[in-house]
Amino acid sequence: MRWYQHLFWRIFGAVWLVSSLGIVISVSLFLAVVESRNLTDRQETRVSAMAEQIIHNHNMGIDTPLKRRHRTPIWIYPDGHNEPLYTADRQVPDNALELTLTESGSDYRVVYLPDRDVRLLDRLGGFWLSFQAIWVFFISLFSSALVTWIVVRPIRDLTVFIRRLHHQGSFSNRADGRLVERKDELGELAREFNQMVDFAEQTLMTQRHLLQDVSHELRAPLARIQAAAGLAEQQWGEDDRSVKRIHTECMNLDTLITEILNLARAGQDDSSSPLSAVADLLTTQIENATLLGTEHHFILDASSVPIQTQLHAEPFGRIVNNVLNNAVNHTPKGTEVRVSASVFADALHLSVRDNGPGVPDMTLDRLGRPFSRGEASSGFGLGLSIVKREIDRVGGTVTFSNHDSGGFVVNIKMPRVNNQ
Amino acid sequence: MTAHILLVDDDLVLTDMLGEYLKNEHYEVTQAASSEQAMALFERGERFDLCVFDIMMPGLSGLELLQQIRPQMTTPVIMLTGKGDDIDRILGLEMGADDYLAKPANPRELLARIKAVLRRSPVNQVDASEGVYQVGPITLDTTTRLACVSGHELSLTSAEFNVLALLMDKAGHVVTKAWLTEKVLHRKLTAYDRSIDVHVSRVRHKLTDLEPSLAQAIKTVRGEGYQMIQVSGV
Repeated sequence: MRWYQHLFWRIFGAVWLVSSLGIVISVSLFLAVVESRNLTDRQETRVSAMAEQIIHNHNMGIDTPLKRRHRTPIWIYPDGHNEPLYTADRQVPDNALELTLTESGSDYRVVYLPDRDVRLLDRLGGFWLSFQAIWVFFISLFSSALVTWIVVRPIRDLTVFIRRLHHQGSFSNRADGRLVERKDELGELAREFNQMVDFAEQTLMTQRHLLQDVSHELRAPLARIQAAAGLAEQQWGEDDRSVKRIHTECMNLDTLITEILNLARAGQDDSSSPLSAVADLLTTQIENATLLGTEHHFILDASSVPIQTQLHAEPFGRIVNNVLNNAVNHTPKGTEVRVSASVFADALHLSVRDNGPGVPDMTLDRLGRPFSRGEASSGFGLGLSIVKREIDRVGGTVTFSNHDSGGFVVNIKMPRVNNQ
Repeated sequence: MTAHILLVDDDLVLTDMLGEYLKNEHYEVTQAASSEQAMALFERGERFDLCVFDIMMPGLSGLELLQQIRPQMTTPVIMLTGKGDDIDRILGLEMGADDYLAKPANPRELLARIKAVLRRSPVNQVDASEGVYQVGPITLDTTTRLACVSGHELSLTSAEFNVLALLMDKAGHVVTKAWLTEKVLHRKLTAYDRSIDVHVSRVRHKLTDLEPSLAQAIKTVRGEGYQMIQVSGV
């Protein structure tokens, strides 16, 4: 978002512009009215004085010569006569004004041309550069900033809350007290939002619990099937093919249940300790993979730079384990699996590259989805989707790709958390 | 002599079948459907060579049952945990199970664990040569199976005693987890198997309780195993 796209600057700009323009126009109109009345009064006084002088001269038998300094052309008529006593050297224009004057007991009608006030704009201009104008400018600045702040702040609070909800992936977040306690529309919006989050959380929890419960419940009959298979084995001997097959399928089913449980658990808050020694954790996971009997060569390249990510040790271990298992299960024995971890650009970067055949490009996009797997895969297609879910939860990114010189690469990037 | 095994699990169908399986393997089996029933058996004075407790049981859980019987009884116990449960935490919380097995499991696996645990009876010596070991303030006598710190007796389970004996025998050298697991638990180390770590950590705690300066006596060598180091002073 550019700065001018922010609601704050838009409202602020609009309110400031409108209030400033409003004040400018109304003050100008007011000043114009006051000024023009002032001007008329002054001209009337001047015209009366001039007419009195002319009438006085006329009565004394002296002609008043037309003078240049008589800026205002006037015509004087004795009351009741159409013949002027004094006349300016032109026709009486339509916009002429008139006033009545009493001099030496007789009434006179004085017609004059109103002055055109050429200096009005100058005087208004002077006002806009004055101290009052600067005062108006600042008052409108502060008042529009205040109005904007009152409107935008709660919206921003709500945004922060929604962002927290999204980034932490935890539905236990709610809009806080100040926002919810507001009696206005924004308070209402916040309360409605909280209710919506409640609803979403409940729906999600119900589904998750259902998935967990179903998976857990499946284990009891599975344990019984295995016990029954054990009894059958005792009767028919350890080499019986059917019994062996039952055991294999039981183990497959058990693995599937474990993975579904992990998937349901992925993205939930966990209580394990924060991730600290990344290199040690990777070593442990590689050890575990080696103990599973794989004959791959693991190469670990990890700097022990401490970094605080939102992902804790336990889900991180699960992620590494899933990625390593994926590499081990889809590449020939004896090949190399390279694990590297480093910290740069304020994020932890983890990369696991195998030396297998890679994954067809069209399958790459689907790898993060549950139950999607490569054609040659014997797994359930849950391992990498668990990885994606966990990383998404902490605002990181996972990319699946094929390396230019062969092999499948999983790149994981997890942002640093500022410990405040 | 057939060993007498107690199975405690609320899944009666499962215990019936496991009981039958173990009987076919010539063990004497008693079943209990809850921790309370098991407690009643213990209170009646019944004694067993080995107990198998399920952790998840309504009422008293398997862990609570273990805590109740543990100080008085030294009978070896195998815990059945749900797979995917936090085994570290479970084993860290409980103090004194001899092994654990994730459920569901092949009964043959349970049988193997039972055999392994029974094999390490107190009289069954580990490979540490007979005699008295001395590392810093720790004294350990494999003939009397007594371990002391500065004259105070350490109360150790047989697995813990064997761990300490092996570490003292190889004092100064790194002992791998795989080797320790084979010697102490009589089975191969598998991935995610934290039993030996739990046993070592318990020994460490007990040593530190008696003598705080022994906190560093057993060093964890990341990626390799454990090492008993010579503690000076004291």
